[in-house]
Amino acid sequence: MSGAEVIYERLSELARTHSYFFSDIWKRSREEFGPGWIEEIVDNVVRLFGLEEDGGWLAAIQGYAEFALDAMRNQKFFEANGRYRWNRLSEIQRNYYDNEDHMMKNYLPGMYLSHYLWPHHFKLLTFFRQGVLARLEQPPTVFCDVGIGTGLYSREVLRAFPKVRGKGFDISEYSVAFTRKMLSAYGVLDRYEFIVGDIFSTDPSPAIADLVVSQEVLEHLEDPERFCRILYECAKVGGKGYITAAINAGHSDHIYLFRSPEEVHSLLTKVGWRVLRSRAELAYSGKPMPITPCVAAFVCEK
Amino acid sequence: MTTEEVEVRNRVEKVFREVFEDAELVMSEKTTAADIPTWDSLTHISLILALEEEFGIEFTSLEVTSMSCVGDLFVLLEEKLDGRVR
Repeated sequence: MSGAEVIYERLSELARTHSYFFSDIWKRSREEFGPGWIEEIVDNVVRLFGLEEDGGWLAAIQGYAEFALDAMRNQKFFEANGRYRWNRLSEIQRNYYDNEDHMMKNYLPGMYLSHYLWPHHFKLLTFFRQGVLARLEQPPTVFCDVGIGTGLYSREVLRAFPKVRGKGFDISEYSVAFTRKMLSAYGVLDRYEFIVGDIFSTDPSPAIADLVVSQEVLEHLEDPERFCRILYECAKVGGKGYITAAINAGHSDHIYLFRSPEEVHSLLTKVGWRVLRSRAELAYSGKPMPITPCVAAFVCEK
Repeated sequence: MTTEEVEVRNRVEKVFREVFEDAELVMSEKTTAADIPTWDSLTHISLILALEEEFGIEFTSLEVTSMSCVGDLFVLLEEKLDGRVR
């Protein structure tokens, strides 16, 4: 058994012991994605959450369980009511994004691990690497990540292109703190700049980016169309965009309900983006499409 | 066991039978997910929501995520219902 597998077994055991009903995903994803995936998730946990004896692994596992529980509770609400629970960004910001305990202990570690543990998230991360970054005609010089969340997608760009410089925007100072720690752990922080605040009242640096990334942000906004215009303005002519959205997916901070990938596609083209290709991944199968969470990704050009 | 405890356990069993769609389902404190093949994370949340509705209570995230068997559930329910008219 490799060192990564030993650590993975220990992580799985901690999940079974402390969050039993949220531990089956550790086994299922391992079976689906194999040894390379194990190496990667273990590398992430060790770099970002430190040593087991310091409590970092358990905290991350519990954060993931709470993040997953939040998604499931809110998905049930969505299934029963046909709408998301909240609809005002100010409520979300007050209750969640400005809440250090929630953001640093649950939301951000949980979301970060979900990019590996949730198959549809990991498939889209793979698509971003192989179907977007690897297919850019020219290495980007400058990129913008608007709504950095955990910073994972910024890290991917910074690691793929050793000379690229990035600008990350987010409304939450805790997203910035988490991203700063993660980019530092991967040795790419020196090529990254943070802008904290509401993008609608922040200078979005018009036409500077060869690549604009916005990963699962649109559903968090009251006015995603206006946001898409800002993303478009950020890009240079000929620049690319990688823009994704969660669809029919309840979560405590999802407020704008997209009911199909086509709705997102229409929004992007309406503000000027040309959609080059797209990919949609379902969270699970077995339920009718209108209540099955999905993430749709669009590769666009200005 | 008091009559109130018996009543709580009967109501819990009724919820389990509805969620797992198994009218013959019999539970004990030692029942775990391993005993009910369809008891996974998705049915667990359905179960929790149904129990919250049945008893008019709310479980915290930590309670939901750390639960591992029916015995854990009974302990939590008894703590939450303690002192209340059931």
